[in-house]
Amino acid sequence: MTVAGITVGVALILVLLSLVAGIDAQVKSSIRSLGGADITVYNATITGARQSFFLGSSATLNESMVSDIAGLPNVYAVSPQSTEVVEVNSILAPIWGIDPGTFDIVSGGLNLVGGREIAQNDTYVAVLGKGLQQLFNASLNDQVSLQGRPPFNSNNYNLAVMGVYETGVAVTDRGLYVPIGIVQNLTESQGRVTSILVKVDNPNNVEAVSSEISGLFPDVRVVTASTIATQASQLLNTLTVFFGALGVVALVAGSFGVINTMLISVVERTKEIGTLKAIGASELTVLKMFIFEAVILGCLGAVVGVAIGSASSFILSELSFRLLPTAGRLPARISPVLTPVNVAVSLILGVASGVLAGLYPAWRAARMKPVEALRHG
Amino acid sequence: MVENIVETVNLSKVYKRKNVEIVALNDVNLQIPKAQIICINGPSGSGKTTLLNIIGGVDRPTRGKVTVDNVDITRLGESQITRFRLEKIGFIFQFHNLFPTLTAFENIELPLILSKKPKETREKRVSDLLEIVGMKERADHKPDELSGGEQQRIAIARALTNNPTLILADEPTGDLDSENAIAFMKLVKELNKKQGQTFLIVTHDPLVSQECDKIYAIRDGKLRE
Ligand SMILES: Nc1ncnc2c1ncn2[C@@H]1O[C@H](COP(=O)(O)OP(=O)(O)OP(=O)(O)O)[C@@H](O)[C@H]1O
Ligand SMILES: [Mg+2]
Repeated sequence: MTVAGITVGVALILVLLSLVAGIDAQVKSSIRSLGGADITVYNATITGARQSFFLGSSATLNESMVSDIAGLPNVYAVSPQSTEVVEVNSILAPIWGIDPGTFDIVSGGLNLVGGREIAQNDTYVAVLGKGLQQLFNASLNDQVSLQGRPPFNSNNYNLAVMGVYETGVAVTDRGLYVPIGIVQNLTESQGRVTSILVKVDNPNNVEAVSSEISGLFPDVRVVTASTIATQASQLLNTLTVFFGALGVVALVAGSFGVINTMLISVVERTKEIGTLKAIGASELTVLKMFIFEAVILGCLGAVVGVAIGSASSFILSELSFRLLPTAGRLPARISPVLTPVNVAVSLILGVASGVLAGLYPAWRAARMKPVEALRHG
Repeated sequence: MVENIVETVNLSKVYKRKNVEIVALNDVNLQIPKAQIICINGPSGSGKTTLLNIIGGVDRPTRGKVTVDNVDITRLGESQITRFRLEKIGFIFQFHNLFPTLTAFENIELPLILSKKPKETREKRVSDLLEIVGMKERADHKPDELSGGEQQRIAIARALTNNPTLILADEPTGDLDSENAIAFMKLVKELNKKQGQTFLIVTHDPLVSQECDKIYAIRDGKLRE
């Protein structure tokens, strides 16, 4: 197909823009999930994914670190967290185990759209992401069933839904928050946690406290909001260059496809163009006709491209949710986000490249001499 | 004195190909009085189509002068000559050159669209023309749903659309059987009589030339009576 190149180019550019939007949302939500939390501590040596597959739990930080860090100067509050993927009502979902006593102080709390947060004395309760809640059509106080997965025990918990939160990030909103003990039991990692959130008394002390933690525990990775932003912008640059180059190459190739098709159609219609000019059509009229055709071709390519790009973005975000590890740090969880602006930008780019490609053939058609065109056959 | 609608003075057209010169027209002096039917014949390659194209403003002469309706068209610029073709000239081609994707009605309407006439004017004019050429019931047919004779009648209607001063026809019956050729000439005579239209027809068909007011012959680019 002649507009395939434009289609591919538009699709790639749309995926790129969606990924950028997704990363942006992810960064914002990561920073928000740190909340006031200025520092997050992970295990540095093994990534969450490998741990889950080969060693069992990704929870490898000793819970005693919580009080060690809390004892450091300038630390305002500390909160442990354990993350895993589990089956909820037979659907895979990321789960965050939190300590109700400290979570709010450190992170600023969940953005609730219904019910309440997990309280200190709660045991078998959950706060669902809005996506998950809609999936189950669950009401407050309904029960959801939590199932452990190999290699961990296959204990089954029934949890009462206490509240519903919304972050705006699709993947996060398809997860749930529970008291940390439940995740520890499920993953057989009592006394260990996945990450530790730290809030510092004064933003100016973030760097000092994180280097202090690094010095105290050489095996951990200390992430601050600014390191997340740095990581994200590096990833963003790589992606932009990669997809951007692909998209531009495809668009250029596609434009040549359009040029080629239209030049052929100009030659094929030599006699018609000649007749049209002989009966009094001006160069401008012929030019407009062929540019109109290029606009149609461009639109066609761009619309199909947007359809394919949207579908790919959707599939990518589903895949990122199903396949990628849950150790809630970048770049583990990037899911593309489609926005109307991105769709519009890719559409316009596609149509514009179609029109640009149509200019030369249209000019050729317009400048054709009627005699030569009539003698053509 | 009779007013001439076309006058050529020492009209010449020379094609240069590498070092060979082809003289398609050689000092042609032709006067066509208003409201006449003029025929031109001559062997293949003698320059008939070249002459027609130059008079119709689709080709330019190498030397000489062409006056149509008191305008020296060799002096017109590109956009002026486009307008000249649109307003003053009607072309009838041997293979009618109708647009296959347009209906009979739309084919006839085209010159009116090009001259930016309003819709009501266009519809009135096209249905009048369909009436004149006797094709009223076939307005919505595409060219390939019409016979050769019917297609040629639509082509005549298209040539007449903007009420041109001069109608140029290149072998208009070349693709028609004798019955349709006779019908074509009958229509030409009628238009000539009723509306005073001037026709310049290149033809080898005796059925056509016998109906003309005057016959010229061209041989090797030279015009004779
Ligand atoms: N673009 C061109 N380049 C070179 N020679 C040309 C060109 N157009 C026409 N000729 C030559 O000019 C001469 C006259 O051509 P023209 O088409 O006017 O002949 P004609 O009388 O219409 O012939 P026919 O009866 O076959 O249609 C021919 O020798 C032709 O080969
Ligand atoms: Mg000829």
